[in-house]
Amino acid sequence: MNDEELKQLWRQQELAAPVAGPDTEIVARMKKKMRKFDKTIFWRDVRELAACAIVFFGYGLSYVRESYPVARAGCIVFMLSAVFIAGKILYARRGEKRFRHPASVREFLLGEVEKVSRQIRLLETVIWWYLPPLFIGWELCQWGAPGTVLGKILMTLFFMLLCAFLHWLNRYAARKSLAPLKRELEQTLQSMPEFLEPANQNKTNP
Amino acid sequence: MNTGLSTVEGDFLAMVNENRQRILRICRVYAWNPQDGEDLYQEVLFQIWRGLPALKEKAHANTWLYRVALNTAISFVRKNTVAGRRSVPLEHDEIREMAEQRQAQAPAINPRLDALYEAIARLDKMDKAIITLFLEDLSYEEIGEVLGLNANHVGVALHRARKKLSHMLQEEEP
Repeated sequence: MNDEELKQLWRQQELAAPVAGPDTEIVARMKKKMRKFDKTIFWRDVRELAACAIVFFGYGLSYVRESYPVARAGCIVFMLSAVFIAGKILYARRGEKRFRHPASVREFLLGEVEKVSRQIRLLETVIWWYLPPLFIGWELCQWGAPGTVLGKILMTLFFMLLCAFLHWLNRYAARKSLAPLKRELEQTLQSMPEFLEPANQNKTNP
Repeated sequence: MNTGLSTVEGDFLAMVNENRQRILRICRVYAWNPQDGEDLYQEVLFQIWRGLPALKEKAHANTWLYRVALNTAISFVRKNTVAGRRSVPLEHDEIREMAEQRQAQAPAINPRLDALYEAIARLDKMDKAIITLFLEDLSYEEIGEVLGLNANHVGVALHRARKKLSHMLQEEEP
């Protein structure tokens, strides 16, 4: 078969649309899907920010009630941590908007690689931006409040183990599910002719 | 007659009705079983619905549509792969097996067409996209616009992909 025959064969196909129905029904279905999509995004943001708001107001209340200065300092650290974490999450999400309307398949793939890379970075660095502020706040609160030294040491050890576990869990998620995804996206991107030239090999990792 | 529909809704319906077969052909390349095909078709329509208000240059609507359809299809295959499902067969035996299943579900109208789909399925993702756009009769410039490449690169890649495709089609012939 020559090129023209192939093209003719291709365009001659009459495929049945899976969804038939009046135009108004198709539009109604799209509107419903859009509402569901918006709702999912809205509640995802609310969930994440609500957790930070609960920590903020919870420790704000403790700050008012607490009479020990070190423990009060711990409450402030907790409150600032909640604001910082919420800000960090929102800032990371803002970056996703850059590739919302990609100009080409290549740009779409670059956007996907960047999105996944950002998620990997966030998960792999919880030890720097998520766990320490909470750990410091917690330690100040408990060491600044009355209690036995042994009890405080045990709680510190428990919290350290918890942090180590959360760190491992996040890194595991990044390694197991996101890293293969990133590799696959990069492979697709690098199979594009422009990327096959040596000068462009590092385009995915600027 | 689209009475009661807004301009955007009217534009959306006009675009979908005009390009239904093009969208369906792309869905068939990237989704081999009917259920996946339906899901992908719905997803492409939804992405058109979402993106249409941002489409500024109506003159580029054709390439825009292909871009949205291909991005959605590539994303769909990736999500399915991550979820442990496969919408496109990867190995030759698997392609054969799925092609037979597909023929059993929807008997072939044209065996040559089935052979063409089987051969396309064996190409890698980018070659698949380039060949699909070539079969859709897009010019090098238009293919470049959809994929984000210059026309020279498209020419080279298309030459390579066509060579692979014709080799595979020869293999398929008895």
